[in-house]
Amino acid sequence: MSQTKQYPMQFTGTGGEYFVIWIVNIALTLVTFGIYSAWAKVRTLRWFYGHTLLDNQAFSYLATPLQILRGRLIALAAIVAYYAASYFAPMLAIALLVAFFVSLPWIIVTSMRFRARQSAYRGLRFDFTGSVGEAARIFIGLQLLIPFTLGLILPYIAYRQVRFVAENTVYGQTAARYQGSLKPFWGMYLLSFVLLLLPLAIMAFGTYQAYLLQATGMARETAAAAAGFYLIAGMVVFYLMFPVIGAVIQSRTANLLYNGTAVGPVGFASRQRALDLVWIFLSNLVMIALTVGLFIPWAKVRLARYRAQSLTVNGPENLGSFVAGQHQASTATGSEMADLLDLNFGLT
Amino acid sequence: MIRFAADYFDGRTSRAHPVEAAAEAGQLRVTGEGIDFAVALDRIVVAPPAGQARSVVHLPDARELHSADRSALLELSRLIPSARPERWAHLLESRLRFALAALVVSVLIVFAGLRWGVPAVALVASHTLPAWMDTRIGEEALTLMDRTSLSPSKLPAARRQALEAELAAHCAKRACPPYQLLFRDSRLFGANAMALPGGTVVVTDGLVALAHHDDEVLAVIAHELGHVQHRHSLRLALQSVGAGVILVAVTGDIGSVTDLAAGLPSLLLQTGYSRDMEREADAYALAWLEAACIPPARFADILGRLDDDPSDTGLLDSHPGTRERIAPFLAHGGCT
Repeated sequence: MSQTKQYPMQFTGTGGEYFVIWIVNIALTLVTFGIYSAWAKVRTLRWFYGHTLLDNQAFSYLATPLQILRGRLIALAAIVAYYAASYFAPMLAIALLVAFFVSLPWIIVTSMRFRARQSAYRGLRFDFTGSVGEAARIFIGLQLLIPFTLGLILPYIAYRQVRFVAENTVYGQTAARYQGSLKPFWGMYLLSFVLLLLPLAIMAFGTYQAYLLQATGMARETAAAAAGFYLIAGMVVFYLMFPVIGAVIQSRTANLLYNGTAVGPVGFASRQRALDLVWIFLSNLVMIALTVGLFIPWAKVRLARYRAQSLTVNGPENLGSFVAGQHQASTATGSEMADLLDLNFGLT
Repeated sequence: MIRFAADYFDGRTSRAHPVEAAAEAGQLRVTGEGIDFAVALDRIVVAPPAGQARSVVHLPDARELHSADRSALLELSRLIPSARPERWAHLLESRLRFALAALVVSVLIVFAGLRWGVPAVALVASHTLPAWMDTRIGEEALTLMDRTSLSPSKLPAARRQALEAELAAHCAKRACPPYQLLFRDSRLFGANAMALPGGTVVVTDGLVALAHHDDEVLAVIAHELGHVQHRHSLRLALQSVGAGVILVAVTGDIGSVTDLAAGLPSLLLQTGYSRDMEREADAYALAWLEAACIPPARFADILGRLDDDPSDTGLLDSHPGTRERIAPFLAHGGCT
């Protein structure tokens, strides 16, 4: 058995440095009526990748702006066609919508494949080998079962999605394996469910109090006012729970994805914590609102730094023994379609 | 001559080979332990450096050079005729005051685009779009409101017919845009009138009850006909789409966390749009009333009363101040 070594993932970018790139990107995008947005995207990703270091080697983003531009134009044409059709030919619009849902698994797979193939580390590209058929089963087939199973299938869907992402990721020629089990996904959803019940319990308690007070002969209005406090508190907690549950699911999914995945001799240790993410989300949101958006670059950098810091790679003394796979071209259409429609299948 | 230390990856394995690279006489020479080759400069691609992030030199056959020597890579990228647009970006990023200028330009463009650009485009677009589109949108809006917030009018049929006849008589004398007058009862809207795309004008029972004179109802209808004449509802719909497009273009790759903060400015400007439109509709109403020989003060009267009606202030928030609005109506006297 050869010796193993721990490699911390590092993010070396700063908010101030990204702010300059960000604002120049926005200005040039506006001046060129959006055409520059493709260059802006590539530049941004190249900056984030180039600042993500493992074993003192940076990741690299390889897509060219023209690839992105072509994908964006095709995706934009499809969306414009849909809007035009919904005004002028509603039947055609419905047909397009059906076509979109039918092609959704294809969009998901091509989007993940494009992202993987344009990402490289130490001169070797990643790849994604998931099939459209499996994506259809996981992202559409299983979702259709949610109402029939009263949502009890949710942990299983999350588990299958994580496995789909992990097992189909390839680095060079080395395919990743997934060894995680279904059980911790149940824990994640049970915790989320309990968190969701908390505000409902507060409101139920308030209503019960009001009922008791009224039974003891208190005037109806006074009793209602006493209950009102609990109802309002319940509502506030209810809205606060959304970012909290989002953070629980995001952090635990990331941990379950990385901790169960192995690429050849390399394993991962991810230690994201829901409370840390809640703090980052909420403080980012407040700062962005206070600065009318100018804090956005710092917000993104904070998140990137936290995600990098919580990840450690366990691997052999030398990471130089991975072998390249075959190079395959891929188009950005699916990924830009997903981007423009704000679809998000990425897990971290 | 540009010379820099780099890690060389041969594209076959993930092993890093420390090398020395030198650009000279149209080619890049790479030397290291057991490595010595040269590539013509026109066959290499330098990913333009962004900020302080590390960058990559792509050689043919998926070979790569990684270097932390940013100034050397930047110089090298200048020798290679690729990636022109990003040179502009790099120039702007290189000085803080250029970046600040970019910030100012961005804010000005977004503001001007939302305040003037979008309404102008919406105006042009509303002229080119066929009339039946308004009609269809209006029909759908009415169906929706009939189902949710409107109920059939409780006014006597005779009263409704009298108002319809009065309006028709005026419109026979003075050209009105094609319209359809409807009466509805609504607790939600209280005393109100609204113009839907396609020319449907809805008057609530509350408004008729509030009026002391039929001419007051006609004056409000004239204002709504102004909205119809200028196709305001369609323009408003187009404007909100346009504003959305601009804001998405700016904030596009920011992520959903920031949607809340980004949505606020568009909301503020949305009331600005409808202010201009209210002024246009008021101007139309004033001309209409004068031509119809109805004292313009009638509009001022009912507007003053609407403003006192506390149930209505929320809906009137998007209108300009009542005092400012009624001034021209009070200034004009008899008819010509």
